[in-house]
Amino acid sequence: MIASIPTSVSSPAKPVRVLVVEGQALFGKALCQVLASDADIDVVGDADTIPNAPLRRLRPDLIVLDLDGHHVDFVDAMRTCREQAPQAKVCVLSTHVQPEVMQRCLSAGADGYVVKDILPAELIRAVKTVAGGQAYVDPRVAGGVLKRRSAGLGRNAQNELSVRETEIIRLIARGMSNKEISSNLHLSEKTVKNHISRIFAKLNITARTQAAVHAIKTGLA
Amino acid sequence: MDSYVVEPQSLFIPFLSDVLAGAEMRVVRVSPSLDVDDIRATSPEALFVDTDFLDVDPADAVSAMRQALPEAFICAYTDANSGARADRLRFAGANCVLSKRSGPGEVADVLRAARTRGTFLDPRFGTEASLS
Repeated sequence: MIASIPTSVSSPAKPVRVLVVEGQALFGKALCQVLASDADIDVVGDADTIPNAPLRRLRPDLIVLDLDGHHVDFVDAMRTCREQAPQAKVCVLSTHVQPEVMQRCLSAGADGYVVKDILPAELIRAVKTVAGGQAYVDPRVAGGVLKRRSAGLGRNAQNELSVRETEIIRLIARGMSNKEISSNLHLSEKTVKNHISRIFAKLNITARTQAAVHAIKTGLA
Repeated sequence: MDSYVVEPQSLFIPFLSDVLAGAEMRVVRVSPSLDVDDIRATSPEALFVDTDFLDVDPADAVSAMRQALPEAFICAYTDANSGARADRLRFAGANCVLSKRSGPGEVADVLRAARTRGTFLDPRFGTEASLS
């Protein structure tokens, strides 16, 4: 799943049509500005969420999708991307350097994973790499994946937490109640309870404190 | 006004610095995480803090900054969607609680106004306090 990162990216024949999906208004404008500074990239639009993005009309070659502040389930967002813009590659932006989070994004269909302390020039390179059909992942996170694998710590896919479950277990570790989590993630309390039940089943635990301990031990919180 | 920014999304810093400059806030130091000793040593007139990526409770972080710099203007920048969370930030000592849904022009306008009035809670949070 992890591709080597090419040392150079050739210029595409025509500009890459990029759509920016970013919930933070300022950061969205900053992203558009960085990407538009490159002649080979055409920023065709921006939106705060995937449901609000006119994917069919804009027909982007690539979607830059911010994982943070993403109040829609990531798997659902990826499904929408595939249905409405099947031609588009998806490059995820995130502050998370945890390998688990990256793995879940790639498993859900993302083509790239970029951490938001990246330099502007490197972001442009990442976008061109993904648009060119190759995978791009932050080298630090990829290194973490390799370490986990070599240490035999990887769980099988069936027991891996989804992106949403990862978000929830992090909030549990912060001491939030179900009501606070539902408010924070724009989910109903019932949905939160269902996610927590699945987390407990996957981790073979029975209490929130155990979930919090797991989150802390695995670097999720 | 010399300003200290706590923001781990470093890709965002140049654009944010331009926006803050529009509110007469000159960024003199940026930290990706909360470092109260560094804040105290820098002694800025203003703090702009992205509270969504802190390792500690956001309200506790604001409280620590307020204790370190009792006179500073503190703006808490947050993706919070609950008025209760926004109120906690304000009661912890933030002069301004600003939603991440705010656009660049709005951010600059709000920061200028908040410094003049002394306080601002983004009406998007919809709490009684924010509407008063």
